[in-house]
This record gives sequence, C-alpha cells and structure tokens, in this order.
Amino acid sequence: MTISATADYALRAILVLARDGATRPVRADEIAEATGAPRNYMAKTLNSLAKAGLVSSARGPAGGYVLSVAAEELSLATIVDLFDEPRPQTHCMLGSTPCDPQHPCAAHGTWTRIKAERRAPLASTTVADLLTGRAPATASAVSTAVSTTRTLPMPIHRSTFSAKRAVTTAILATAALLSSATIIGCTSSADAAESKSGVPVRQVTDEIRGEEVAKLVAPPNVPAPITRSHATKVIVNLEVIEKTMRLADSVEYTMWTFGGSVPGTFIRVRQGDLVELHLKNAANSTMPHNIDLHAVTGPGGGAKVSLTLPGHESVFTFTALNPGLYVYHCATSPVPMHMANGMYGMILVEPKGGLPKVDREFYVMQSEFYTHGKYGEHGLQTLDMDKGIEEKPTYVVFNGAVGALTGDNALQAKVGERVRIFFGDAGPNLVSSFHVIGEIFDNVYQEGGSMATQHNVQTTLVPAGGSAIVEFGVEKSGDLILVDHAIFRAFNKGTLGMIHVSGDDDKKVFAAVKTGVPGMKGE
Amino acid sequence: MTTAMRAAVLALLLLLVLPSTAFAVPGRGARGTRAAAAMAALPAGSYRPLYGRAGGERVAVAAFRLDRTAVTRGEYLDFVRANPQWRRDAIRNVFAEPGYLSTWADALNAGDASDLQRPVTEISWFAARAYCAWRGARLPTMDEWEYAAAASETRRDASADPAFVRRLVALYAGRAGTTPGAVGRGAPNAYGVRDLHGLVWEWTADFNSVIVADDSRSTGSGVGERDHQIFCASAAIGAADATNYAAFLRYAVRAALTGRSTMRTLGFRCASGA
Ligand SMILES: [Cu+2]
Repeated sequence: MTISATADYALRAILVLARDGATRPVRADEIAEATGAPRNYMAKTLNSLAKAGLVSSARGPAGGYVLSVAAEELSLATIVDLFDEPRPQTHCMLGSTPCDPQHPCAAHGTWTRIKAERRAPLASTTVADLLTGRAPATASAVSTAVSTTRTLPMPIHRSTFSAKRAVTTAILATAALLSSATIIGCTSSADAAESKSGVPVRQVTDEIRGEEVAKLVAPPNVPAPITRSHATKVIVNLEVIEKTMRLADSVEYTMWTFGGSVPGTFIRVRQGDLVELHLKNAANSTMPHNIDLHAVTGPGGGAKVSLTLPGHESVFTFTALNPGLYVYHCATSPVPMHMANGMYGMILVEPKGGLPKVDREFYVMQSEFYTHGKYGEHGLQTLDMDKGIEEKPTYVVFNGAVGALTGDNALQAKVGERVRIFFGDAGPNLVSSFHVIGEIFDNVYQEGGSMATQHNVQTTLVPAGGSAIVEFGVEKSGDLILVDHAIFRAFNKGTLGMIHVSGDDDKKVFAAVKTGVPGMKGE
Repeated sequence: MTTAMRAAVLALLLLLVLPSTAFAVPGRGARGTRAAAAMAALPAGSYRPLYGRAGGERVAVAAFRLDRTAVTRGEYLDFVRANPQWRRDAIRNVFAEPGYLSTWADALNAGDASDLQRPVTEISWFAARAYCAWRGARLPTMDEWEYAAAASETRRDASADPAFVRRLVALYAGRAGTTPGAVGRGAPNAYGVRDLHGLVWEWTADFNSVIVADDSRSTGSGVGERDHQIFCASAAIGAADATNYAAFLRYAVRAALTGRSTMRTLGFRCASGA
C-alpha cells in the first residue's frame, strides 16, 4: 500500500483550495496547473472529492471549486482513504473463505494492524496543520527527508512529489517484507450473491412507454385501479408538511406528514413501472426528512439518497420490480420520532394483470401516538419518548386520529358490493390483529403480498411496517366495525373504524328473533 | 512502522506546506465586533458526543468564548453593507444556495426594527464563516457548540437528564411552521448563553465532521459512515446515548447540510479563543 498518484493529486488539490478557495472559487484548470496534474485527471479527482462532500463546485465564468469542509477538521487520511483505502476485507486471498474481524484468517490481525499504524500520522494531521506548519515532526525527521529529496519541475510545493517518494520508498520496503503475508492476507471481493432456484433475480425488461403524473389521494381513498397494460414512467410528487392536526376531540398534535395527511397519500403504480419520486420538504419545516419505500429495491429503500432539507427537493427513480402492498415511511434519525409523528403511508404495486375487480377500495392504516398527556387530555400534545421506548402508546388509531373512520367519517358501502381494504400497520411498535366485527374476510393477501393466500379469515395479523389486503362481499346492512382485536386498544386507545352498509338485505343472512333486553332492536 | 517510515511521513506532512497564509478574508477587522460582554467565557471541560470519536469517552474542550445570542439580521446587515460581495444579489453561487437571505425585502433591507432583532437565517456555512472572520471571530466547533448546549439553566452538563432532553425535543418540534422571534428572550444557560435550543438550528465550523473527523475507524472513507449514521434504525449503532433524541435531531440536521445549504430555521453565532 502506497499513497497513489490520485490520492496525492487530491491532497494537493485540497491544499490549493484551502489556501486560495476561502474567498473565491478556484477553476479546475488552475488547480491542475498548481498541482502539476493533467487536466482530465484532475477533473476526475475533483469529481470524486465533490461526491464525497469535501469540495463543492459552481459552473459558469465565475465558477470553480471551493473547500466545503473546515481545513482544521479535514484529516489527510480522509482524503487519502477516498482513493486508496481498500473496501472492507471480506475474503481471504487464497480461495473464497469468508474473512472478517469475527472470523479472521491467519494474516488478518497483523495486516490490519500494520495498515492502521501506517495510517495514523495521516489521521492525526489536518489540512490546516499543513498550511500553518503545525505538523507534528522533529527537526531530524525533516532533514532526513530533505536530504533524499530530488528537485522536480513543479510549479508549487515541488517537494511534495519527492517527499512522497521518500514515503513510498519506505512503504515499499515494508511491503516487500510483508509480501508473504499479503499473499495469504485478505482482499476485498465483490462476489455476487448466488441465485437459488425458485428465487428470481429480477431484471428490468419492460419497455417504458409514455409518462404520467401520479394522482395522489388522501386516506381513506385510493386512486383508481390501473387500466394500462404496459409499463410507463410515473412521476410521484410527495411533499413533507409539518403541521398541527387533530388527534382526538380537543386534542392536537404537531404531525409530520407525507402530503399533509396521516397516513400519507396513497401511491398506486403497476409492476414494471419506472417511478420518479420527487420528495419535497416544505420551506417552513424545521426538520430534514427522507423516504424509505418498502417497494424499492435499492439503498435504504430510497432513504439513503433522499434526505431533504426544508425548502429543498430530492429526486430518485426506481423500477417497481415486485408487486404487492408496501409501507413507506421517513427514515431520518431519530427514526422512531419521525414515525411516531406520522411519517408513513403506503404504495401499491399492482401485479401486471391487476387485482380482481371490486366495488369499493379503502385505505386504512393503523399507528400509535405517544403523548405526554393521558388519553383524551385536551390541548396540544407532544411526543413522550419514554412511552415510545416502553412501547406503551397513549393512542392506537386508524388513519391518524380517534374517530377518523367513525360517525360522519365512516366508510360507506352497499349490500351486495365487494369491498377491498388496503390495510397497513405503521407501528411504530405494535402489530395489529385486524378484524372487522360482523364480517368475514373472503380473501386475505397475507402481509400484503400479491396473492390471495388465505380465505375465510376472521382476524389477520399485520406486522409493524407491514400490510395486508383484505376483501369481502357485504351481505348485510348496518355498521361493520373495524378494530385491532387486541381489544383494550379498541376500547381505550381509539382503534375503531366503521363501514356503514346501506341497502336491503336477505333476512336469511341474519335476523334477530328475540332479544334478551326488552325494547332492544338487536341490529 | 519503522523509524525511517515515520520520519518520511512526517517530512511529507511538513513539506506539503504551501507558501501562503491560509484563510485570509477580505475586510477582516474589528468592525462589527461585539462588546466583550456579548460573549460568554466558557471554561475548559468535556462533554460526551453522540457519536464518540474515542469509544464513547468524553471529549475535552478547551476554554473559549461564545456569543451569548445568535447573530441577528441587523448585525448581518452591517456585514453585508461592509462586504458587498456577500449581498444576496452579488454572492457567488458556489457560496450559497438561491435561498440565501431570500426572505429579506431586498439585498439591503432585512426588515423593520423588530425583524432586525431576529436571528439571521437562510445563511450558508461559507457566509457564516465569513461573517465571524470579519468580526475577528470564528464559528464554534461542533464540540464547543455541543459542550455549551449541554448546559441547562442550572447545570453545566444536563445532557443525561431525561427531563432536559424531553424539553429540547419539544422545543425543536415546536418550531414547525413558526417564525423565529427576537434573540435573547430565552433564559441564559449555566454559562450565560441563550437560545441554543429555542430559536434556530446553528452552524458549526465542522458541521460535517461526521464525515471527516472520525479517526477511530480502521477502514472505509468515513463518508459511508456518515450515510450510515443518519438514516434508519442504524443511527442508533455507536450512539453514546440512544435515548438522547434531541442530539439525534441536531446531528441529523447537520448531516443533511452542505456548505451552501440555507434554511429558514438555520442561523449561527460566533466563537473565539478564551
Ligand atoms: Cu421525517
């Protein structure tokens, strides 16, 4: 291991920026000239530094590069590591034996230690140290190195190369001594996972035709089923809005929302669609936010690339590879707080053939709220982290508030109709024993998968961060009651919803014959 | 590492020194300097960072001075008048996003008398740094800021007090949708510093030190580590106190910033040596 030419150029580019870039951007060609690096080479190097967040750039006549971190805080190791540090060691060089700190191969410990020692001076010296001459060194060390220096025709700090060579020589000598260790030492490996039979490794094969902007609708409604039979590009515009909303009668809570509602707006796409997700964060938000969609195959479900400051926007694309009903949520640290404040919703990836036709589709999501005040205590409530950590919610509700699906807000259906509920459980902690009092689920797509896997189900278990699709025909008029059958929640914490069924029904389905309480109607 | 190698490495470090002074900022001088009383003197001490650089140990902080209040719109207006290159219609793109001072009525109009008392926000790190340098000061480091901000009204280190953490979380979350009011209204903390939590987020010199200052790692660039720490449940890995949600919120904000970033709820204050 030596300091590579690229790392060396990078180091010198950083020094130029630290010196000259405090008051003006420095052009790439100026940097190339000052460091003696070929222009193209320097451009690539600067690109890498920009990607790592160490420098930033502006285009145009007054454009160029500036250092975007404090020189006092930037260690030389940080720069060198960007270019030279090997990927984490996962395999031994001889054969493909896995190798990591827990299961080291013969040379693992020694090699790791040597690398760490070699790196230490780079880690303890900052760019500012170099510029101000505060590098921790002794006079003899300097004179030794200087005496081995050859003068090279470099425009500035010409001694860099030669000093580097002194280091290189020393490191090479050590490396030679260690060559036998290197052979059995660890090397990084990017072995692709082997696919097993029955487990598809999916490929994007669908041709994308056209483009549309997704219609996003607030709960309990869902966008209409997809009728197209080809893949398209779907643009999804989601805006994060922090706002005070009703949690129960006379109880308010400052919710963090996707699209202004809790749960967030429902996204509906088709398997194979290319989704371009625009995550905006309102300018008057106080927190950064991001999004992790469980429908995304990619880093953090998108969270890794979508951290968005107030007043900003992030965009990423993904192909909806797997059909199913998926939860999405904010994953910004501290995640439990972002989720406890309402940052979740669902995205349906319809299978290519679509779902069977029904008459009504509803979007219901269960979640918990942890407030300082007791259940029902009036006023603006705030998050009680301790209750969250203890997993003792004050509220467990459907669609973000007590009463979001009862009274005037009850869902509506008619006798003879087929109903589908896209049901999600946001948690943050509890699983749901989802049950509809007075009905039996004819079909359950367990855990939100793409197949009706079970029929004639009374109560289906929905994991936190998971979902289920339930379908049933409505045979009887009256009110169907949605509950989490962990029944204290329904009774004391708000987990109640209602489907009001109107129309004439067949008395053979159900009829009250005699009631044990005089005057009670029974239905 | 052999002696020869160590000598050579040290020589490299020294010989890389460039023949020029670093960090010169034009207009640097005593103009805009706050009265001495406007800065609090903080004694040397230590604090426990959320993400430890020394295996969860406390980090030592040398004595320093810190503005008692955040820099106001009025103070920043003086700076912009004296340094027109930092006017919003003159600032170079590379130093700030378009949001820079965008809620000002115009480039030299920061609002009425009460607006001038509010903390200046929509400020990039470059701009905050230049302002402090102009005043003959600097931005506090993250260690200094966190050290000062660990103090409650009565205790110098209340960071492990659940009630204090709860109060901070409520303060941060309570800012949603509001406009920050005048500086100096909050109660002084044990060091005599105000509004570290109640008004706006604040820049630190090394806001992105999660990228660059981790010397304890043995592999990796550190960039991945930064990514790793800010998203999802993995943020709890390596945290000194996974119940300190207030600290997680602050670190998440810093992690989302670049030097050009501006926000309506992000301001700054300056520091200097003891
Ligand atoms: Cu969030």
